[in-house]
Amino acid sequence: MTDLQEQSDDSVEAEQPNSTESSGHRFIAAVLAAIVPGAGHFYLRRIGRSALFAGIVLVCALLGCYLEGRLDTFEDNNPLSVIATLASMGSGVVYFTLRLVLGYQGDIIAAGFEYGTTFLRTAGILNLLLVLDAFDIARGRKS
Amino acid sequence: MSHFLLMTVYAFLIAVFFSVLWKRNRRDQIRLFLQLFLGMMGGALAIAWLMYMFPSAPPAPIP
Repeated sequence: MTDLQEQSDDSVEAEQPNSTESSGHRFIAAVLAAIVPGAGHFYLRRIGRSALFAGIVLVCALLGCYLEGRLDTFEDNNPLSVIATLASMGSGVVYFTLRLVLGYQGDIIAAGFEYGTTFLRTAGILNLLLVLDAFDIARGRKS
Repeated sequence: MSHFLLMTVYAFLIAVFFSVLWKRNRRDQIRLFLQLFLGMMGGALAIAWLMYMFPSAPPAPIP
């Protein structure tokens, strides 16, 4: 194998899209990834990566809760809360479980409030990136 | 938990995430992990060191 071929194999982006993947397949992978962290990669049989990504998102979210960070919600007269809430909602079932099932909100007087908020938002944003990654893998643009 | 420990955990998680997301080859993953992790830690410590030279003003008296 030449160096050029080796670089091509190592590259994240493949040259040719995988024509075997249907458009429905892509959207199923993306929707699963949006709902459950790591599920999109699991659906695409990237088991190891799925477990690792799910673990990272969950650790971020749990650490955010442990530090009693804020779980964002939409606020009147605060347009930035929309962005923050959409970012937090990116963690999918984690966000809605914390919000609706456990009634978690965070505690503004907690010592780790700011750090916890950062971890919770990061969990959502990382999962949004996983949605795009799962979509690209299903489309054949990544391996 | 200390500020430094939280920063280290955060940098570690982010570095692992992006190195696995962006690279498929193990050697490239390790290289990117080190770049991201050391970059975040070193950058944060450098900014903290710079800020140390400009201490914040004393708190305003409570009326």
